[in-house]
Amino acid sequence: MHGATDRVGPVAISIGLLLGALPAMAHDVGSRIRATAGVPQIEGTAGGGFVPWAVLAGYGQKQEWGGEFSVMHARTGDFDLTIAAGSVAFNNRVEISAAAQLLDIDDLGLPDDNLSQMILGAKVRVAGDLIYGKLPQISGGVQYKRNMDFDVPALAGARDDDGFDFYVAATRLWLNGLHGYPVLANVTVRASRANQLGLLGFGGDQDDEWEPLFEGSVAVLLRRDLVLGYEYRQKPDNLGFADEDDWQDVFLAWFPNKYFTLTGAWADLGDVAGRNDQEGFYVSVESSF
Amino acid sequence: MGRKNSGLLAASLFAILGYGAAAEGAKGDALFRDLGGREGIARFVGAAVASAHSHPRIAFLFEDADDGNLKGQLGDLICALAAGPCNYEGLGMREAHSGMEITEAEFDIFVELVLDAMEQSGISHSARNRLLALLVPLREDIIHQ
Ligand code: HEM
Repeated sequence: MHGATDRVGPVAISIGLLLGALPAMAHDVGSRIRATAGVPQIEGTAGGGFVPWAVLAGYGQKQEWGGEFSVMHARTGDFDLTIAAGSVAFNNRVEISAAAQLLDIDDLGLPDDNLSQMILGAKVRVAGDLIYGKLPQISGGVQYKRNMDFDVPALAGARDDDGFDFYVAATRLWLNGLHGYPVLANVTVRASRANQLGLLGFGGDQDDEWEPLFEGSVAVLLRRDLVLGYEYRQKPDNLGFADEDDWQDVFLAWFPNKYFTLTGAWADLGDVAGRNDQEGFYVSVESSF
Repeated sequence: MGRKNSGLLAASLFAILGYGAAAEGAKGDALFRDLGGREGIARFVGAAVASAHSHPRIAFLFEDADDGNLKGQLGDLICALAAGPCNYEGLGMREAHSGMEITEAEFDIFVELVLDAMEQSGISHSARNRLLALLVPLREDIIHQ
């Protein structure tokens, strides 16, 4: 039923792990405190799984650089999404990222079996810090997305095969949090015309405006190496052929050390491309360097 | 827009932020006891200073340190911050680190060594973070002096 992606997922994950292990061995991981790199976000930047955070990828502090490789696989009732991403950050100031997303739509009986896109991202820390000082860490980011299988999105009413997302994120970690269990909160505001991240193109027949979209995450560090979080991501709803719902997920991320992170999550994507109640899970592996 | 339950998000954010803020207040000497009292503090401070001496990126800063004094003063400071029965009578943080030009990275490295030392001596996650929350505000007087 799931065809090729059944194999793509595990293979991609293994390749990602191998690729990730190489730079990790060659480069001293940065100095920032464990788990402050966040987890790989679906569009390639550092964040929670769905929401970009103000933190930058890897553990680089000022005067250091770092980054990460990640592979993610999500499976809901009717869809498989595989993502590979890489990012580098310099001076705990600027992050550059790239991601490739492949959505298996075999089951929909459409002219294409897959939808895919490439995403290039940049994020700049504008002010504050995740833990130090008075201000939360505040970053601004941009994502350029280019859809690579535009036939189906065009049929569905999408206007463009590429587009930009702009966002501002504020993230803070309170170490004392819940009686010594550190608590993280993140709020992100995004301007986007992307349908289902951009996998269904940009803009649409029903709505073609830039709208502010709100995204948020809360997380608690249960242990030094274990983070439990919840995320909510508002979505546009531009296409007349099917409703696009907001997304949410509950994730558990394991940081056994600063080189490796494993995240598992339950995700609720609502209605996607006419398929109702897409719930499922995702797994991501990340290697930091 | 498909705004299913933004209200839930907002409510949980505020609930957690509110709770977090309320939890900041000090509660007697509970932290001092959770750190293992004077003995417990001396143990992890000793271990952290020892590992600082062998850390490739910060050892040079500790080369000329008077270890006995440093361990004693740092122990007293932590004991006092944790509302234990100690007075800190050492130098102010700016003075203590003046001329060292400690960077953000070196600061984080030392903090992780302290966390490692605490973890290895069996101090709980909660106590480690409660202490860390008290040390973090000192950073601005310690780095770049
Ligand atoms: C939360 C962080 C820190 C705290 C609470 C702290 C506390 C102290 C205290 C209480 C003293 C002794 C002052 C005195 O002699 O009266 C001291 C000295 C010193 N600290 Fe720190 N410190 C911190 C971070 C660092 C870092 C990041 C480094 C280096 C990477 C460092 C290196 C030193 C050195 C080398 C001395 C001088 C020891 C001597 O010459 O006797 N400290 N610190």
